[in-house]
Amino acid sequence: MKTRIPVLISGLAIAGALALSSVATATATGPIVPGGLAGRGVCATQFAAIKAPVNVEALRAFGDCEIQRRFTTLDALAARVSGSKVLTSSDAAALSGEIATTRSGLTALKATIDAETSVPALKTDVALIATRFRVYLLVAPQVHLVSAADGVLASQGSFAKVNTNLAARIAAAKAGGRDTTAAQADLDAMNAALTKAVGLATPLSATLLPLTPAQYNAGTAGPVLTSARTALAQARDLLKSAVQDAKACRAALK
Amino acid sequence: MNRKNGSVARLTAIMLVVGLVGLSSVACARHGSPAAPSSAATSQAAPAAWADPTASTVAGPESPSASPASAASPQAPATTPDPLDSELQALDQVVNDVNGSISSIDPGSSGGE
Repeated sequence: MKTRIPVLISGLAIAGALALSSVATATATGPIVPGGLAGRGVCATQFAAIKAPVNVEALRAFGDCEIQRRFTTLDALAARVSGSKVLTSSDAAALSGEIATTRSGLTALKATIDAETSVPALKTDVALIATRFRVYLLVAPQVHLVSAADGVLASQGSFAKVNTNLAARIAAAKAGGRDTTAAQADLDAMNAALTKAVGLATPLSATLLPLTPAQYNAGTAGPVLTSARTALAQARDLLKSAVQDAKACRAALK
Repeated sequence: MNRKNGSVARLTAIMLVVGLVGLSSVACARHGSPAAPSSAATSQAAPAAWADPTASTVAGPESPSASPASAASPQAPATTPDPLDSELQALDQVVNDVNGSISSIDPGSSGGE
């Protein structure tokens, strides 16, 4: 019995270490939290406090927390825009401008909330954090969707290189007397899929960037976002198909 | 007289043994015996390693998979990476990036808004 206790303790220690390491791995590789990098739950304590008989301090704390959560998200979005290799300079400038405007608006609202002294006025101000800026429902989707659209357009450069390479190989094989019908069909399919994907992505930036929180609140921006997401999913599938066509073309030439 | 003859015979036998030991050690040194390493042994090994530079650059001199035929093959430069490999990898990365951007938007979440 005495010898079993140390064994049990060491077993628990190993299990604990494994559990901790799996949590660390999940955190490192997990998806982006939809409510922002800090997560929706970050203001749960402050939210619980305003359910009780509400007072100015509790409302202010909740408002400040929600604004800080959005600042964190805006920082992440700004980093994504500035670090993007596919955004065009004009789209990056437009998104950076929108993020900066949103940040300055939230900063001003925070000052208003911090100076407010009545509960009804604070309730109105706190509601504006979401409705006036729409960080999660509009700004973040704009950044991600425009990045995806520009990514599809930027892929043309990579596909052009592959097209040049494969076309040269087909020409060489044909000159050598080989049947290149299948390889040429694969290359044509690659280019056709790319053309369709580019066609889907091309108009998206121009429709996404002008959207405003007011349009979202009026119900007109939401369908545009949904439509853009659908188009980009189709474009992504077409790009996948084009990559497979390129690989099939190469295989047909071996 | 007999005692004198006996000591001469012993001396001759000792000299014979010493001579044989000396000869054998010299012979061992010339053949690269590990018991008696010499500069001659290492100087002979070096040119053998330099003889085929492709053997070390393609598969490494101690690679068990490197056969003498492949190391000496004139087609060794064909292992140069095909540019199409990296171009196709770039396409895979492009698709992954686009997919990542689309996946960053969770249509089922409002983020509390």
